[in-house]
Amino acid sequence: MHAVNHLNLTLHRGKALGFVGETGAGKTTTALAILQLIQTPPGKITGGSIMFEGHDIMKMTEAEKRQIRGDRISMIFQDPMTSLNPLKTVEDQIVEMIGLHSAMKGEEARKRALEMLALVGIRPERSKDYPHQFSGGMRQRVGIAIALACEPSLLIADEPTTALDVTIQAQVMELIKKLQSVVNTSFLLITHDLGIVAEICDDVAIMYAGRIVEYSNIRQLYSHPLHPYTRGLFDAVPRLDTRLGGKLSVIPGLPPDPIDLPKGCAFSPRCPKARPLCHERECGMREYEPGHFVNCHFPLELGEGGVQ
Amino acid sequence: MNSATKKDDVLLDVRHLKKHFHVSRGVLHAVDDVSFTISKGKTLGLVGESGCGKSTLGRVVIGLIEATNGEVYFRDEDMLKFDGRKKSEFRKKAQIVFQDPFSSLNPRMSVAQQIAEPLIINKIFAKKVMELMDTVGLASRLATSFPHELDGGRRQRIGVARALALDPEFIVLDEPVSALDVRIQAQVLNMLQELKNERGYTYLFISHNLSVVRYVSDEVAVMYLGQIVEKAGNVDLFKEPMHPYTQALLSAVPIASLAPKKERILLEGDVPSPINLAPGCRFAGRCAYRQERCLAENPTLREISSGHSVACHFAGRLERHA
Repeated sequence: MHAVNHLNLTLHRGKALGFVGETGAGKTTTALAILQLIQTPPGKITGGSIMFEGHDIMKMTEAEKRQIRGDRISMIFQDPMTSLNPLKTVEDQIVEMIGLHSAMKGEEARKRALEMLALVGIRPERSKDYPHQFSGGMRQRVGIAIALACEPSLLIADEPTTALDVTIQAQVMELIKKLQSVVNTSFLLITHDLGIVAEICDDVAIMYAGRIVEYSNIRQLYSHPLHPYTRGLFDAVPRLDTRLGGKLSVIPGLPPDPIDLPKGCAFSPRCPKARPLCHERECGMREYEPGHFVNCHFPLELGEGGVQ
Repeated sequence: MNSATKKDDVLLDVRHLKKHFHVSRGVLHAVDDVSFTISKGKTLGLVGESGCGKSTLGRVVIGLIEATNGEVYFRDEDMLKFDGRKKSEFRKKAQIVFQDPFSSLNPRMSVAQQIAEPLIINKIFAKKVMELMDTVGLASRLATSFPHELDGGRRQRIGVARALALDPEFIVLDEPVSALDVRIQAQVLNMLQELKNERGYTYLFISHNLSVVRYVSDEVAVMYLGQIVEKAGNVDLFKEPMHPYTQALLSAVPIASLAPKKERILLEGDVPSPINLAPGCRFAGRCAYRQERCLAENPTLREISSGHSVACHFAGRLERHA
């Protein structure tokens, strides 16, 4: 099974990249590959390179990778309840992280942990509480405090607000934006929500069946999506800013089984614009306009796919 | 409710409904003096965040949970007073679809068995199952499949088919698309809309997702800590929200567009606990417009303009406090 295939991405220091796709598109697998957290077997990274600050993560030893994880690259998970340790106070969990990756010890590490909690808006009197004593939004803020404790240069967030209510989601998003500018962290955001991407990302990659099908800065992608799948994603979701009374458009069919990908373009069996060539061979990524990449033989014309 | 609506159009009329739970720390006001009506063939969208009491409300109005107090008129009769035969008649007319189609289905029953269950309980001939599967867009070859063999959308279609099996008039949809992927969400929403248009079902559509509620509803009620804080026609509510909570809620929704956005109102803190509530307005602790009066007196829902009701002392003349 090819979960992720021929994927090329660049993320600049201090910038945010949104990674968008449906369940099973391979978004999380890609993130875990960057962190080298794919379990082998059954998983195996069969090729490619992951350059991080000039070094190829794929060629590092286990010890070197451990050094990077949590320190230079860290991750925020979707469900803060299952990613926190239920038996440790939130302060101890941050202290543990700091102890593993820095020279700070004892009182100094504890002070740093309280600073991090203050940064995410958790009062010091709550620092001795356990995860179950916090609400979902506060737990996610603890997760962010842990992830940022060592000022990583890359932060990967996998659906960080999906489990949260909308007003709490807004708080967490504001917090991530603020911290990103303070710490100058690069940010990889995995989500299915194009609205969140519009708010906090600089660039966006659309993923389908383990491939990136479109990749650009958000201005170009939102004003004229080129790939029919991207267009479909925009149209399938009810939005607060569209006219009432319309019907949601549904992309026909199902995403392909990653064990049995169709010949040609992986999206061709569901594509309203597919022509014979599409069922024959995949197009591969090409630069349609400067900085706007698309994996499609017949991208949408300008104006054809515009989003207001 | 729009004052122009004729009374005989009203299918469900809920008056001063309360549901309190006695818990070890005191009394939990899950639903606290809620009133609303739904006209026949219309959808009332009920929005609110986790723990505001919207699901409890949905379960009380179809009789799955007993009310503490109040009246629920279905047509002209108070459903809360039904017993015996009347109650089982009502239960055929009022159905519910749950959020998670996996945990609300029996994993050991096939698709056909799941849908047949309400028909068998009510001694209606089981060949109707195939009709129902067709109605909700489930291919007949899936009749012998089990829930774990199907995707979330198909599972939710079973939930809808079960709800439709006894030809109900009123259906509570409790977060029916929240557990589904966007692509499947669109299919299920379209199906629910088509069923309503073709058969005139009346819906109470419960969701935390404002965009979804806007898409399906004729009227919208916003709930906060057990009470309805604002209620209006769909267009009005999203165009001119008047309660500070509704305003914050709407401004928090990320929009997939690069167009300039309205200023975001960030609420501080979390929703307080619904146990042993303080006397004043329940939103006062997080409200940027709060005044002395808000801490002393809980505002009731009052009509500010035609069909637009708000529970706020200062609705229509809000001035930011700090």
